[in-house]
Amino acid sequence: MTDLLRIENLKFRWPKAKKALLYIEQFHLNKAEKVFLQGPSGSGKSTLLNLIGGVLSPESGHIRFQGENIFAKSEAERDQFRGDHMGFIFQSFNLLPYLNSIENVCLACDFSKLKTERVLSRSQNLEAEAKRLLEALKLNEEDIYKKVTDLSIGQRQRVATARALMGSPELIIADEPTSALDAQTRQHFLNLLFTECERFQISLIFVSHDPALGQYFDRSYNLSEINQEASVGLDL
Amino acid sequence: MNSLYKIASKSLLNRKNTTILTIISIALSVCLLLGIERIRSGTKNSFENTVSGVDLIVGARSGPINLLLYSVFRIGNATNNLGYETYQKVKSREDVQYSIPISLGDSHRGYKVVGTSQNYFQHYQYGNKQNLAFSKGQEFQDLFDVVIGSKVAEELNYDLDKKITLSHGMNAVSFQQHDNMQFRIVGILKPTGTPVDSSLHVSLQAIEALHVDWQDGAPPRAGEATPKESLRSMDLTPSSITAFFVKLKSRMAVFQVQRDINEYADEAMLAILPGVVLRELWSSIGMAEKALFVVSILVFIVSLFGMLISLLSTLNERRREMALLRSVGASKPFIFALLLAESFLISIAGIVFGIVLLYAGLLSTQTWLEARIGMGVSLYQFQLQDFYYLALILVASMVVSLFPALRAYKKSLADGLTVRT
Ligand SMILES: Nc1ncnc2c1ncn2[C@@H]1O[C@H](COP(=O)(O)OP(=O)(O)O)[C@@H](O)[C@H]1O
Ligand SMILES: [Mg+2]
Repeated sequence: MTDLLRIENLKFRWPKAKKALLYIEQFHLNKAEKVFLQGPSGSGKSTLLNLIGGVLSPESGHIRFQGENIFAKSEAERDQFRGDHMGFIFQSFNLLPYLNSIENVCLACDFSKLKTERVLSRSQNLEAEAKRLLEALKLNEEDIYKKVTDLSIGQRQRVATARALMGSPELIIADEPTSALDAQTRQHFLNLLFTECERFQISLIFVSHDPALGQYFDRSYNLSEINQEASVGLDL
Repeated sequence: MNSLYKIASKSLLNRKNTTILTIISIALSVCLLLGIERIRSGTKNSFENTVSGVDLIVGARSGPINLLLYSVFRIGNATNNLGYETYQKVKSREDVQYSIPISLGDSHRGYKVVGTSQNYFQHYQYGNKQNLAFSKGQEFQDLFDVVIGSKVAEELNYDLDKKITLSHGMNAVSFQQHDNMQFRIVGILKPTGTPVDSSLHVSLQAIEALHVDWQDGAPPRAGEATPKESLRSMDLTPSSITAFFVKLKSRMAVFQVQRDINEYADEAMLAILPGVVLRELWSSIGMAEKALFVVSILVFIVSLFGMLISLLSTLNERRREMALLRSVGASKPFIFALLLAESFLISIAGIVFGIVLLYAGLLSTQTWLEARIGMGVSLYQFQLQDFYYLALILVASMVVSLFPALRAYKKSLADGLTVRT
């Protein structure tokens, strides 16, 4: 089975909203596959990612991850599951300002024994692996030990990517990670992200409002294509 | 647990300025609360122990508070004296261990003169059953010797061997100062924080001598004062005293002796238990004590507000931090615990720093405090009560920080992994 993630009849409505925001009958993601989801602001992209992360619960339907229904788990189990099997990259505020880059990357292991074990099975210690990842993402020695608040936005996104990669989770979820980057940095960032995902056979869900990025992915969708409630998506 | 404290402390250090200010404000309130509390209980304690180690105070029959005021605090006057004979009778009772007579009514430059016996220096106690001690010199021996309290020495700048004139009556400036009434300072007492500090002590006979020329109620005319030498050869056995302190051999007998004295047929006397009356008196004048306590509570409340404000002001920044932690797998209870851990660390740091401040303050004002309050020990010892206060402070600041913690927590739940601004 090459299925990593399978969404079935997923219906989600915000508590005070009159209508459901999302209804996804079918969606799946294969192992090591890179999928792009495009949609305008407010169409529910982040909400979907929160559902996959197990932070939000749907009104009905399931998300299966390696065959397991995420919503059959307790809240604590879902938190653990997210920590063990996923890595996140956001548009901004990806780093804790009071930790240095290495510590920010190692944060992924603070909440996951599984990731820790995976790292230790191939690296001497967590710091060494974090450093290796940061270097693979083209951060030089000097930048690694800078205060994270002194890094450029592009560098910060790469530190965040290193954390998402740390411990090789099955899935990386990227929520507009390039939206604050200029075109050249964006291209560079995507290349690095893809290389690392491929190396570790990691699946990627990449979300953006910018349709131009779709061409680089294995598959590319507009959220409205898979969301049957899409007509009400815009609230700008 | 490990990462909880690691993250909490690093996050606090990151917000160094607010953290330090909050710690200082808690420290100040801990210091004030405990300090005021100590001074309060120290004052109360020392007041209630202005005289200690005495079972009964006996004077002519009047009100108990009045008797206490003039015999111990040297405020006001006795309405009547006690016959010296009567005193002798009580003194020689089987159950009396010792007694200290006092004779009041004279002064020196506004300070009270106390006529008494050697027993005063041996047995008079204050505070935690502390005896009087001499900083210089010794007890009076001669008829014209005087022992002065520490405050008298300090304020009037008196030293040993200085000759001073005592006068009859209470006027600060006496019109009649006779050279024949010159006394020599032979002893200066150590500070006690009690009215003893502002008293001058002479023998009962000396008080008699002061009064020899006043037999007709008027001062001696110029040149007619009895010379010192003749005074020495006179019989100066007092005819009366003002009051006396009694220590019994067994405290069990105190009520019996008190009743005997109060029912004494030949003379109307009143015997009081000093501890009881002192407490009574304190509860009627101790309002300031309550005011102080209220002030320290208010200070603490203000510092809680400071803490609340500093926590609330960083709330938005914290939301993003929480969302990020959630994304790497932190659970809701972890987020909540993290916020509480930060408050806990701040409170503990504030408390420790506050205690350090308190002791630094106490030590640097040590002599001043001891002279003023007179209770060395209880000021420096950590009391069970202090732990209650500290526990209260800790709990209160945790409860207060629970409020922003709950808010951050709720927001972080609503935010999920993405903070909408
Ligand atoms: N925490 C929330 N509570 C209520 N409504 C929300 C919340 N977050 C998002 N929404 C609503 O859900 C819709 C989709 O938001 P979002 O998933 O953030 O869109 P996108 O990421 O595509 O810009 C919007 O209409 C937004 O108002
Ligand atoms: Mg979004």
